[in-house]
Amino acid sequence: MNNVFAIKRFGALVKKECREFFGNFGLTVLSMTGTYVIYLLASLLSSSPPGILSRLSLIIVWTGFALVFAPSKVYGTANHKKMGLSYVQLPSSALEKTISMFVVTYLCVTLSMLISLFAVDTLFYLLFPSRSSGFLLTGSHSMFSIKTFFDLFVIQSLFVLGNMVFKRQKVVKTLAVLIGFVFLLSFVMGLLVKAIGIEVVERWIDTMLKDFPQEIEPGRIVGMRGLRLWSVENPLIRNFVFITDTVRGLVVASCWFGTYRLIKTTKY
Amino acid sequence: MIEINNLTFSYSKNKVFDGLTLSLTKGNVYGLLGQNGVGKTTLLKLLAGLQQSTKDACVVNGFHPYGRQPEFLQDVFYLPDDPESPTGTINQFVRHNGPFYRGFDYKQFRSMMDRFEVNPDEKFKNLSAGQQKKAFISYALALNTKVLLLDEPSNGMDITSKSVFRSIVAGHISEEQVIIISTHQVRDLENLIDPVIILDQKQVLLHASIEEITKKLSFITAAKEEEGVLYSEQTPLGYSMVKANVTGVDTKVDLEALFNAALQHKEWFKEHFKNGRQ
Repeated sequence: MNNVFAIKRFGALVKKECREFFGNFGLTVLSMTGTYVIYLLASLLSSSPPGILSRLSLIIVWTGFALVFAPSKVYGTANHKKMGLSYVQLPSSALEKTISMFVVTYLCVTLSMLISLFAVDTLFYLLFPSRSSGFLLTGSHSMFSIKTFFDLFVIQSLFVLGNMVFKRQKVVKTLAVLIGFVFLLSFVMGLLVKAIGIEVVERWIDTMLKDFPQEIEPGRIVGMRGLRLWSVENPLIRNFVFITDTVRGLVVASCWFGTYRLIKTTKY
Repeated sequence: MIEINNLTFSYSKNKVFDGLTLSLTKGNVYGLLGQNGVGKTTLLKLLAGLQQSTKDACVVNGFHPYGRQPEFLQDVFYLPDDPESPTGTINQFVRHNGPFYRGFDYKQFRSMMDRFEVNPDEKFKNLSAGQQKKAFISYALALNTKVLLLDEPSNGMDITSKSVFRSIVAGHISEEQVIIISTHQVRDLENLIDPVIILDQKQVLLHASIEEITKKLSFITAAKEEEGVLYSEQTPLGYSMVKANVTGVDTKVDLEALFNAALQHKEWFKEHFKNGRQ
C-alpha cells in the first residue's frame, strides 16, 4: 500500500469531502447568492442599472468572501481536540488530506459561487432585459483572467492555513495576522525609505514616471494590470512584477506546506 | 501486536509515563484501569497516533503510531469518552467514513444499531448522549480494525445497553483483534475484560490475565473480617475481601476489589505478578 499518495484513495477522499461540503457550506452559498439577488432587485429601483463591470466585480468579491469563510466552515473541526478525531483518524495520508482540502475549498467554492451567481444574473437578464446593462458572460473575459483566479487562490491558501493554525475564531485571527503583517511590512518599508533617503526615492520615481508610456491612462498604473502593460517596456518594473508574482507563489507554497505539516503533526 | 517499550511521555512539565513497558497480544479484550489522571486516555491516544511518542517506544501493528500512515490508520480506531457528534445523520457519517476502512461492514453496523435500538437515519443532534454513544460504538466495532481503543465506552449508557454492549463485544472479538477498554466502571465490564492492566504512578502496577489473578488471589465475602487480607470492604452482605490464594481454589474476580487491593498493596502486587513480562 502506498502510504504517501494513492490516487484511488485520494479520489475517494475528495468525493467524500465534496459530499460533506454542500452540507456544511451549501447554506452559505445560498445566502450569498440571495444577497446578490437582493442587489439585482434593488438595482431595478434605481434610475441606472449596474454595469457589467460592477456586477462582475461584485461576483468576484463575493467569491473571494466565500473563499475566506469556506475553510473554517468546511474544515473548521479538523484541528479540534475532539471533533477533529474522525478527520485525523481517517485512513488517508497527510498529503492526500492537504491536497483534498485545497481542491475542495477552492474548486467547490469557486465553482458553486460562480455558477450560482452567473445563473442568477443570467435569469435576471432574461427576465428584465430592458433593465439590464448587458449579458454578463459576453463581457466577462477580461476580468476572468488566470490572474484573477490566482488572486482568489492566494486568498484561499492563506485562510486554509489560518484554519489549521488557529483553534477558534479562525477567520478573525487570520485577518488580524494579515493586517498585522501589512502594518509590519509598511513599517519596514518606511524604515528602508528613510535609510535610503526620501530624495533618492523621489528621484527614482520621477525617472520611472518619465518613461511611462503615454497610451496608458495614469489611473491604471495603480493596479497590477497597468504595471504589467508597462513592465513589457520597463525592465525595472518587469523585475518588480516578477518579484511580486514570485513572492505570491512562495506564499501559496508556504501555505500548502504549513497546512501539510499541521495535518501531519497536530496533536489531539 | 502492540509493543510499548520504555515509554516516557509528558504534558509540558507534567510527566505521565516514565519507562512504561507493556506488550499486548491479539485475541484479547484488555481492561485498562487506573485512578483519574493516571494516563489511561493518554496511553490510548499514544497508541492511536494522536499524541507523539518516540519512534521505538511505541509500536502498533509494526508502525510508529504518530506517523499516521494510511495503512496504520486502516487498522486502528480510537473512540473517545465523549465523542463530538458530526452534522447530519448517523447513516451519512457512517457511509462517508466507513468505506475508508478495509474491514468495514455496513450490515454489521446496522445489526448492532438494531440491537441498541437506535435509528441510523436520525440526526446526531436529535439523539441523547447515550444514543450517540451507542451509534459511535456500533460504528467503531463495524470498522473491524485490528486494534480498537475504547475510552469509557459504557459511560452514559443505560443498564440494558451496557448488557447489550458486553454481549456485542464478547461476540465481536476475533483472534486477529485486540480491544483495549479504558474504564472506571469496572462492574459494567466484568466477565468481558481479560487481561487486566492497572496503571499507577507513571508505570504499570498490574498486567495479568484473569486466570493468573484467580490463581494468586481469592475474592471472598464473609460475615466477619478476616486477618491478613490484602483488602477488605464492608458491604450489606458482610465483608468483601481480597487475599492471597493459598488454598488453590479459584474464586470469581471482583475487579473493583482487585483495583483497590492493588492500590493499597503495590509492592505485594509487583512482587507476585509478572506484569506481562515473560
